[in-house]
Amino acid sequence: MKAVRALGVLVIAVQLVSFVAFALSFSTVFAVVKNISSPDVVSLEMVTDESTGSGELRLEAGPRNGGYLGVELTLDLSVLDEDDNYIGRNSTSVRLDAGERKTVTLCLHIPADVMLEMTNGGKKSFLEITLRMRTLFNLVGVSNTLRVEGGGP
Amino acid sequence: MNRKVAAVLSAVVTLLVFTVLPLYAQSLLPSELGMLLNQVGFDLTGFLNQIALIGVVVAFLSVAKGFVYETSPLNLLLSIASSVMTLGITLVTLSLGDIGNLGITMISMKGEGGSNTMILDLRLFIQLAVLTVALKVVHSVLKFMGARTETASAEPHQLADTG
Repeated sequence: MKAVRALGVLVIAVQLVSFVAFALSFSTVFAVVKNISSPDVVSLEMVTDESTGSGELRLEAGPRNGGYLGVELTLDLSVLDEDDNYIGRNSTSVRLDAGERKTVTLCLHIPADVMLEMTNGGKKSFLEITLRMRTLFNLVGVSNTLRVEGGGP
Repeated sequence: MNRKVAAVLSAVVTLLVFTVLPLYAQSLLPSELGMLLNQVGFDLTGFLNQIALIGVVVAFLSVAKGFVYETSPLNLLLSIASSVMTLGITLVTLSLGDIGNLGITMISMKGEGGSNTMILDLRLFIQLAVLTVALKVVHSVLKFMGARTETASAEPHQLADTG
């Protein structure tokens, strides 16, 4: 009967751990997503070099982790052509402990010929921003990919 | 508390939480929300109906268990079935209605000139739920064996007393 009781306690313990882990990781992910969704936290600008015609896409973010657990945050910035081929891609990762705020800067160089094609109505292009988050010792994750059309005819 | 009363109470609570509440919530939600969720490929009605259906099954199993002797193999079967159905509720909830996802759920929304895709990786909680059910099954088996042993050891004494 002792084994039955011990197992019963173990079942309750596993259920409790699952519930607490779920609540902590979800509240952490929600807090970071809520923070990074506000417009004053993320900025994106395109700087064109007039002399060469090339461009630089610059993404700046200052996310804050208002949750209870640390988060591994990855930002991925890419430009794709209409056939889903990557024209340019860059990513960066940052570790945000609970309550911590860090500034992340991500630059993407776009060659002059591609810039010309994009602005002069040659081909369609897409800007893709992916935000990946992993928490609870990298065991729980959420990723969000936003793709918007830019340039083109 | 009487086992039968406890079983009925447990079934009523299960029915309220997993069947009545999802069905009632469905009628309270604005239709715009349903349409919006449909756009992202999430069938809210189907999701809530799945939970409500499993709730009915779990409630039925709970009542049936209360009316079967603890030493009966049927009681063990009902306990195992109840644990597995509870796992079903967890799977449906964490996979947002699509059990086949096994904890990796994708929500995608496409509009003119853009798209937004969200992927949730909740495999850990599915694994923990499977572990819990496995432990519950072992617990049920040990409890059943214990009940059988107790009854078997009590029977000769009863016979001696009556003899």
